Amino acid sequence: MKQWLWPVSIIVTVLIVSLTALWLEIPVLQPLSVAAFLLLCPGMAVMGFLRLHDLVQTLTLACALSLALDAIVASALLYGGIWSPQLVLALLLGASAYGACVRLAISLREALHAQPTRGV
Amino acid sequence: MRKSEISIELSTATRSAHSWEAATVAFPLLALVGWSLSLSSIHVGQMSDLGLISVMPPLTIASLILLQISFAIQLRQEVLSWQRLLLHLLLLIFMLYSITTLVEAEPRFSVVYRHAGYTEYIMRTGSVDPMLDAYFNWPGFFILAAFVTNITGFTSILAYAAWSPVFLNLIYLGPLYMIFRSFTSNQRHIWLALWLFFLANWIGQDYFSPQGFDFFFYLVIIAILLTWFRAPAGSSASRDQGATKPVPMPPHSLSARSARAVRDVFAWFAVPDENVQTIPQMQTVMLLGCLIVLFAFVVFSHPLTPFFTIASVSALAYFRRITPRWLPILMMVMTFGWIFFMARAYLAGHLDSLTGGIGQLSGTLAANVTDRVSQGDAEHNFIAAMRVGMTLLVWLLAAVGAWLRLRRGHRDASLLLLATVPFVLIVAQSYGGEMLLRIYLFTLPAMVFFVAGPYVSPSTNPVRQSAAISLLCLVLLGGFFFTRYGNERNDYLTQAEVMGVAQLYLIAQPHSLLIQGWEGTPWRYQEFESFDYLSLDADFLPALQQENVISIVQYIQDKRPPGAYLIFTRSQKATADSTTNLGKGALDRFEGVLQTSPDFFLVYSNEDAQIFAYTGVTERGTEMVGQTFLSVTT
Repeated sequence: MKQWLWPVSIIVTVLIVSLTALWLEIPVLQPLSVAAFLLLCPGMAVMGFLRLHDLVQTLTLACALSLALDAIVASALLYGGIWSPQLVLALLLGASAYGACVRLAISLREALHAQPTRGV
Repeated sequence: MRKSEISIELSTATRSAHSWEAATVAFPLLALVGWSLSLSSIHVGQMSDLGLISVMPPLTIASLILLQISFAIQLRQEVLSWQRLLLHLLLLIFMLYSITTLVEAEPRFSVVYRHAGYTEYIMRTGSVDPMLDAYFNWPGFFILAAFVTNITGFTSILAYAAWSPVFLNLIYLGPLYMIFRSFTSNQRHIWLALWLFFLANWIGQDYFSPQGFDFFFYLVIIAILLTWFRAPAGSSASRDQGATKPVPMPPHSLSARSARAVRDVFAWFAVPDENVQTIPQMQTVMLLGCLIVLFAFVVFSHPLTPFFTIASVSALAYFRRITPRWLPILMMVMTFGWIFFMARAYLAGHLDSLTGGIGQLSGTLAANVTDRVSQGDAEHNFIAAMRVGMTLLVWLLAAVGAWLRLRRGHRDASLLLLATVPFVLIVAQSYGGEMLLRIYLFTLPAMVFFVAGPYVSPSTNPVRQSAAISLLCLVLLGGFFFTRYGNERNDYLTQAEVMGVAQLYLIAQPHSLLIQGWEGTPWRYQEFESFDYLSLDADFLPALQQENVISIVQYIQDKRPPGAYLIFTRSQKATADSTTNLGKGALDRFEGVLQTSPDFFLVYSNEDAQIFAYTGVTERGTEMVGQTFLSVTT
């Protein structure tokens, strides 16, 4: 699977969720896009650095890590006395987008470094 | 043979191969269509104490049987198609675990409504109160549920909680696949073990609950350890396997023989696996970090799952099956750290009940087995006996499978540990009579792997093997109907029951005393801290048995709440009738006594719920009850 596919998918999902849940609050899209994001994206942003080549392993770990991170961030804010589901989502969106961007930058840099050697 | 004849024969063979391929996809889809069509014929209101099977039309059963046979045929294809096997598996999960969601009007299990209440509290207050309820000492799951419910635009978990079994069983698939693949490369074995897991997962912990959710994390932790952290031959963990110096003893003494036997067993379990996958150190560190994050969530979301995880990981580390060997120590520090610092409120009030069961094996077994099969009517006892029987059958088949694999030279030491170590916890706690159920769940992945073993041997005749697999699946499916949905008459909830409880919350003013006739009321889902809850079966059983309301009246007079109400529902009556020796209609008789009592009067009634108000409380309370009565009846 192409190295850039997951980071780009995460960035696109982050944009959709930001639009549907935080700004526009579109009724049908909101639960679907937010659920999909929370189920996979925060974990997948981390998985990008692990570079697992097996889809089952990647999805399983991404799902578990996403759910755990969702819960841990939400709990940290709750115990910190600043319970706000919107803030939890914003933090998760930000972290996922940051992870995906860094991963994308690494992939691009690797691709650029790899290109000259192909012609040799 | 002429060229044209050969080409005709080849095209015929190609056509038949294509039609066979089409049939292998058509069978599961046909099963889905038949199953879907049959659902409209299921009338849950006509259920007997045998549960859902008593109202299942033959088409539902035939569709599921067709799916089993289709899977068995699919598994014997020369070239396995993972897409078709996955299609079968997804359909199996959907058909087995969504059936109640589709035929019942409301989410099943009264406890789900209680969980809705915890979530509602967090959504409303943005906090948890450990003094309010034990679950708030381990609130991770409910905080996550509150966050997800709020951010997806729902007002309560009850909007989606009924789909929990389908969702949880779907996410169990990934880690189970990883665990099985770490023990064999035989894809037939892996897919059959997966299939058997879902046929044998009857214990129903996959409702909207922290334990069902945390089981997923348990599986992922074990999958990570068995995939990337197995101790390789020559590692520091495996090198010192023979380093334990034998204590000098007379060579033929009993203790010497015992010590030697223990050493041999230890040495057998500690032999490292071959072909262990090695990964870069950076990846190792990151995976370990992921594992610790997952366990951190388990620690603060359920009291029991961390101990099952610690037991399994400790056994794997002790017998040098995995590295790092300090991992169980870290897990224990995390678990006890949470208990001592964050769950102190619970610990202070429940230390006796937590430690009182340690070593009380006979009491625990009685609470888990004998009490369950010796109370209630004949049909309920049959279901309880079926559950014990199916549990023992799975364990027996697993024992046979493990022995056969051992004879063939497979050294499944890690899997044997995972299949046996959870039993240790029965010595510690009865967990309200549920410990054996939990042990069954946590040992199930290893058990089904062993059960599947003998059925996927490459040497056996494919037709005979397909027949054997079909038979095994049909036996487990037959058991599943009784074991999983055998108590459905008690577990399902009607719209009228839920409406009755909603009416109770409209009638009762805050801090009222709410008393249920028997466990099984779909309540506590809103502002649960604003009311006091009691149950006749737990708090007034002698009064119920003697049909005497005086002790209830006395209790209310002592407490002097602003209002007091008794609620009776269909599921309460079904549970009391089927699971106790009080005799049929005990709650109906008690209701009759209440109707003739001057202390109570009926304020609300529908076909499945009746609410009685206590008339003799404070003047303010009586006035309020009277007003509500007028508004309800008019």
